[in-house]
Amino acid sequence: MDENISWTKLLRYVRGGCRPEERAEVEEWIASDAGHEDLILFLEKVLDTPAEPKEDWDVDSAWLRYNIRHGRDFDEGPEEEEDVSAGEKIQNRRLETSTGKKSHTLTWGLVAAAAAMISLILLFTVPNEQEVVSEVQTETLKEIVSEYGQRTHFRLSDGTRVIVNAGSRITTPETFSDSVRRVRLEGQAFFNVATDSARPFLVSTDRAVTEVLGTKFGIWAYPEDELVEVTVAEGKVALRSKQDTAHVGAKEIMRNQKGSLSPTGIARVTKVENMAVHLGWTEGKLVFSDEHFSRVKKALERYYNIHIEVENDSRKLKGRRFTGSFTDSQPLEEVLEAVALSLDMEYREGTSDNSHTFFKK
Amino acid sequence: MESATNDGRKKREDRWVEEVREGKKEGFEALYRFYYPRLCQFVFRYVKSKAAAEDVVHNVFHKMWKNREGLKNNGKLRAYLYTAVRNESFKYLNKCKRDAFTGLDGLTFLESREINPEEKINGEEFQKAVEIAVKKLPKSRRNIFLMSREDHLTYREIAEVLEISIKTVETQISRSLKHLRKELAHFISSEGISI
Repeated sequence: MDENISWTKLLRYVRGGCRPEERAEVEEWIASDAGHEDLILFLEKVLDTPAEPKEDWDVDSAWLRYNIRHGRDFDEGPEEEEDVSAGEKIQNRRLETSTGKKSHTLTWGLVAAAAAMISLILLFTVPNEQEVVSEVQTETLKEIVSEYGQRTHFRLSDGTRVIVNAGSRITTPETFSDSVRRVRLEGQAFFNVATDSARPFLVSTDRAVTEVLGTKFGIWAYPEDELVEVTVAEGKVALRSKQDTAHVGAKEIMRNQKGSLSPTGIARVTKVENMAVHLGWTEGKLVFSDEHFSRVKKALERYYNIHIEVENDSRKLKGRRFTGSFTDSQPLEEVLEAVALSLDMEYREGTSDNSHTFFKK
Repeated sequence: MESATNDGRKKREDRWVEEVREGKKEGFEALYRFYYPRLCQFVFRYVKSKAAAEDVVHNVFHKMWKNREGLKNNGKLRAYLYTAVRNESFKYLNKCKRDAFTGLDGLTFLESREINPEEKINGEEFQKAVEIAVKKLPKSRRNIFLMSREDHLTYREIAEVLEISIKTVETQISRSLKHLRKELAHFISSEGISI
């Protein structure tokens, strides 16, 4: 018997795909020699054994990451990457700023007009005044604003993709400088930073500065909240307090970790059990895990652009914790009813627009 | 038994493919969740990096979504996906040629890889030996063997994905088994299998 064919037949026999004539043939062959039976047993054993080490593939995290990268595909509306889909706004305000106050622009204008005067002024100029005169820069800044109830996707000039959550804004120059990419954030946003090892990407908020080279992370920094949180999906992010100019207290945050900045400016890094809690919003999910009701209330208000009143027992309620998740596709009433129910309360629509009240029955 | 589960899988898959063609996210997510670990395991053999494997698989899924209207619901999705990720892997490897590391050969990789502690604990010597023996196979033969053994592709699908004949697939599998038998000979004593 040609050994090649017999191996294939043996395999079919062991795996169970044999035609009856073949089966008989193989069984005859097995019976013809003691060693043949061993071979069959060997084959069975080998086929039962994994032939390579199995890597660990976390599908849930991967699906989340896929949505962060390509979630736009599933939105209604145009598929253009740099635009935003219908229903979301970009406010494009061009602010001309000089290094000082607005009045300097005026001064510059006057000086420029009187050409003969310029050299005289420069001669007699004190160092800092000279700075003002010769270095007045016109930096074009752009603002991306998400109102309450909105979420905005945007691409910066270096290719960095930003998702700006409800009630937040990003301020960025029209084009980044050669040495650094700097943006300012108020609120919550997710950054997918384009890799550029020559230019670190800095996000500054009220109290914190985060610095990265190329990575994906979300920042929570609403000015009215006391907390600043940075959650990293990929890569490394350095977080420090704005006052910490020597970077002494800077902490490095890695994938599946979250860094927080206390009101006193101390940075701490913790592991994240459920990334969806911090980044689910980027794909339209609100996820709460044992969250303070006050934070849940605030998140709902921003996300849906509503106002929530709580009648009676308001103090007791503030300490309560809530666990649950909602998606974009659920109607608001359903969401509010679920939340009220879990708090053993009821809810009704308020008298004014967008106002809702939770009350104890 | 295997063919029954295969039929079940095919039916589910046809439904998912139809949903993708109609632009429904649910079908796409179902396909993604089913194929992500399988395709990554396959791609990982080529690219040797988990992050790169995910990149490759994501790119292919993204392309599939973008071209969803051209998707054919003819039961050949598995071959299509494996072919696509294989091509994408080659694209990736070409890009990385400048960063070529010294041990592209599978055997070297095994030696420098940290042993999974679980393997040590449950550790059957036989299982380790099988892995090592498989690693010793020449690259393309090993690939074919694993596509059949680990990825559970049919010979026809393997032939399609690798653009070779079914006969070649059969021959390569036979030769792999012959090799394994030789390598693992010491587990087969004259009294019978001792494992």
